[in-house]
Amino acid sequence: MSDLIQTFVNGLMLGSVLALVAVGLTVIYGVVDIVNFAHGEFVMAGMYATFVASSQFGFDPLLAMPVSAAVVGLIGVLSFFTFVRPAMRGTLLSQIFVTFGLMIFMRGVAQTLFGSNFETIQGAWLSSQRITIGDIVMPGPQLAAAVGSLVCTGAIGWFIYRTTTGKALQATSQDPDAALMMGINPNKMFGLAWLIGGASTGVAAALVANYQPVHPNVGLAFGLTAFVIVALGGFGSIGGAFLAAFAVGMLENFSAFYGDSAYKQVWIFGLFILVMLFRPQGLLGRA
Amino acid sequence: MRLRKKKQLFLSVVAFMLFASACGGTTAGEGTSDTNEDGTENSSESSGNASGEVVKVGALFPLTGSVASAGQQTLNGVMLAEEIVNGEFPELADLPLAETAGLPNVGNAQVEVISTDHKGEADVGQAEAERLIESEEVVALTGAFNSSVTKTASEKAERLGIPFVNGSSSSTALTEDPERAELEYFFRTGPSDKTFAESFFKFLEDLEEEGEDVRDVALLYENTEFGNEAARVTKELAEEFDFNIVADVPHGNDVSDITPEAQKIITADPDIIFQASQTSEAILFMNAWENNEYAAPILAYGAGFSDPQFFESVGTKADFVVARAAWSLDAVSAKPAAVNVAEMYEERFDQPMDENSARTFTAAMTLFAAIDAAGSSEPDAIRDALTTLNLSDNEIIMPWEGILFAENGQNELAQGIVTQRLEEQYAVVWPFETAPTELTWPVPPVSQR
Amino acid sequence: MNVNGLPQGSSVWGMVRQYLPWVLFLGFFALYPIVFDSPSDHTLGIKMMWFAIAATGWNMLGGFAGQISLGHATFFGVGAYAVALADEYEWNPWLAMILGMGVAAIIAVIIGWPVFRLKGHYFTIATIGTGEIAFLLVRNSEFLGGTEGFLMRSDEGFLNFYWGGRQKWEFYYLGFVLLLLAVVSTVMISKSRMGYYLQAIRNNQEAASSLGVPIAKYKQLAFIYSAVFVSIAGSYFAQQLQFAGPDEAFSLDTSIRITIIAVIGGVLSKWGPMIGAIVFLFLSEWTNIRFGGNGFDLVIFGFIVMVMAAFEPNGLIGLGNRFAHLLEKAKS
Repeated sequence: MSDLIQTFVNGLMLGSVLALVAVGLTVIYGVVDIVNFAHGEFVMAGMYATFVASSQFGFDPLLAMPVSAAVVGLIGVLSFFTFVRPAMRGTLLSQIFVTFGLMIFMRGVAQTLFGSNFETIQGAWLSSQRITIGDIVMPGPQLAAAVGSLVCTGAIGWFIYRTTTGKALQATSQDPDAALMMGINPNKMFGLAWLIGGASTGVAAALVANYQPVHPNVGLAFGLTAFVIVALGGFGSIGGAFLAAFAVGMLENFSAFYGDSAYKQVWIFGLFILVMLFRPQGLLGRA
Repeated sequence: MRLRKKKQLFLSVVAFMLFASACGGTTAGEGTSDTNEDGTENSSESSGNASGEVVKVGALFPLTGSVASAGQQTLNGVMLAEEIVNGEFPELADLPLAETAGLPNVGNAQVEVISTDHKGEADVGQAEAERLIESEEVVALTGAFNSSVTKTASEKAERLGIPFVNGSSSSTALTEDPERAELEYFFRTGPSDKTFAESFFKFLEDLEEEGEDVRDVALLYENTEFGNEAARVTKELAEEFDFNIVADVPHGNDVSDITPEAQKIITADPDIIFQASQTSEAILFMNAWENNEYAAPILAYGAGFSDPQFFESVGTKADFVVARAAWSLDAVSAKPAAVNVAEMYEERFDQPMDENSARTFTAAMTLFAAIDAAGSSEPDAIRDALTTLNLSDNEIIMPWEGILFAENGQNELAQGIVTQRLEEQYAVVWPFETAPTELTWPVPPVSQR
Repeated sequence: MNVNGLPQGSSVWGMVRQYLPWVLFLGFFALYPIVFDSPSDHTLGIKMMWFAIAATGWNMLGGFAGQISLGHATFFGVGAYAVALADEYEWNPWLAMILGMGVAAIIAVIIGWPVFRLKGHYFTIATIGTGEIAFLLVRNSEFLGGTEGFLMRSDEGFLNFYWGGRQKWEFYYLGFVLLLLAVVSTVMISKSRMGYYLQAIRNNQEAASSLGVPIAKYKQLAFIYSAVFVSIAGSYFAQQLQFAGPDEAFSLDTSIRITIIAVIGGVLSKWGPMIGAIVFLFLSEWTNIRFGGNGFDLVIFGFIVMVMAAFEPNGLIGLGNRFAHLLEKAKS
């Protein structure tokens, strides 16, 4: 019984972290209509930013969160205005290739700057904290990541659905030309979406860096999972990504604990293919 | 319109053809000058050589990529062997070729190591082996650390009839796979994972005699060639030695979450955990044990558990981990030559000699001894010399009985030792009678450390 | 858009211009092993051949039909494992390669059924998904060698699809013939009705559909074609390496590599993948020697791909065209 509860709790914690990782991807797609293939590399960049802030300047990863958010947000805005915006005028091919190139570029930069070593953050305050209820253990870093993710995802949802700027974002996502007529500058809104997408990914990265080693290819695992979640939830849907993240978190934990752990990723991709077959627009996606 | 398009196409093609061939030219040129640099460096060392003859040996190691730090250590081991053979070191008189300069039976020829980076990729390793043999004309190869690269590179060496002496890859299949056992040019000085696993099981039987429960074992390994191979031999031996496997848990490599895998092990509550994981996951598991206040009785198959970065990251959390090793300074403290070599190593490379460098040093020394015994730099003569080579325990720096190759190319006298991480250092703890340090068992609970 | 050079022009000059790229490319590839005659250059040349074959195959779907797949490692792996299994069970590697082409075609149909319901970005992500599933299944399948893969021991000679000794130019020219096969059939398809249909699908799927182009059928045909040629590249690769393992053949990295090659060369032209193969090979070798292989080649390739996507989607070919255009303007 306690195994069942523990697995469930683990699934919840993983799910909430994945939700924040995926939200940035879905916000960018929802507004700009571009899939950021470099999303996993955004996570990687945030983890390195946290690592540098903590190893060079002595920040605790929790305090490095704004740094990581700023760095990744800036990367997002910069890549939008330098390469993505011109590519948006081009064909569908250009739109896919531009972030594909960004992905390769960022991986190369990380390898050149940091080498291929594993880096871990030493002496994070959270790493020695944990909460134990009966037999159920919730390690500090994972719990903080889960809570931080929920707060941050909620804040983004609130911003987009409840504020004027958020509504302008939504208007731009539905019809950039109409938005322009109403006095909204679509380019500004697109840039804002990249900023939000990048910054939230930066926050997720800082939270994850509390307990995960970072290396240049760390983005691969996060990127793939985020794609699956966003496709499951429906591209552009924040609520869908949120639901799908929990589904994936649960599936990973239950399949690995009760089944053969070698196959846990097969289950996730299998679920993805199933949804694609029977509900291609995703759980909550626009058809 | 059409004509213009054709012309554009034509021009663009010419431009890129030129560009491409220019690139090609640079590549070839750079490649040659690079090696020349190496060559000059080495020939300046060998200025004392009367005959002027040089025997070239190729060394393949992962100098970039995810195991680059270990890769540099492995290359250092070979470089030190080169220096010892080429110079005169009377204080190392126990070791073959140390006292004299060069190879006395090959006209006092100097040896030259030509090293190359295979990045840990099987296809790069094979192409580099081929390049060393064909363009650099090396007479033998050593390397390649990653078992998968050793496999493809040594297949190439076999085809081209060049001896390949490996010291640092432990995959059992390299010499035991029926196809691999037939290789005529492949030799391994170091122990295989099976040898290591055997020493683990003998260690466990001794531990049982002291009244400890050790029969319920769990396997925790990465789902890669290395991890699966370690798990396979462990399962085989567990059956042979009559142990119960209570959990069999593969985990992905480069995954973001290992929580369910750790939970599975904790739930199974084994007496012993055999673990074969790389650095990243080894760190994650260590943290998971701590979070669950679980005192994990780990018997580790190298990899992450011999990476300095792992210890930097987990610090004292890794205390009481038991690991197999092929070398450890306190296991050879009775051998003056070994102690001297370790000192020289630290002087040259500014870091202590470790298991990996000791293993590649031994492979290189074995190869040089065989070339000298062959009395020629003919690859076939070197191969024949390797098959009959017999070095005693005093002639090597390893805690083994010596070097003598079996039919399949495996050194029959190689052994594993068992060490335990105590106060942030690995100390030899088995065999119990001769070990300088006493084993701490059972592993103390996390709260009492 | 079309730089393929359709046959036309009655003058001698027209003929010359039409066939010049053929002469240049085929000349370059034919003379390569003679100009660069060291064995290690030949090994690089062989690598260049399978790069070019794989990228040419990928490009039929990715470039001509405009469906960007990041899952083609699956077909590369099928080709590689076909000859590896042949070695294991002592079949003829040529037959195995042909069998592998058939299997690749069947798998393309099976994968195509779900993924072609999706368009654009969705399609690309779905192909990552199918590629990863294939990769994970192969790694966990004992029959397919698990994580270890297969070592091969081919005998030498044409019938055995292998020359492994100090002479490798035969193997290079074998790749050259396979590449020719790929290019010629690409040309034939691009000139046929299928070529025009694919172009219509790429430019505007809805419009093509309303004009009565059977979209599903032609996308599927392009997928089959590209799967088959990528599997040929896989067989050639495994025969040369004498090894087939999941990480070398089936991983996402392989898919990404094939895609980069086609993209930097230019996806809208049949010559693009070949230029891509040449540039990719020499740039990665050069950065390796110059910067010690610390990921600097990725920086360059990533940058090129981004710039191309933003400013010249047709890759180096497109860039060359622009350059030629400028020259012409300056002249007149």
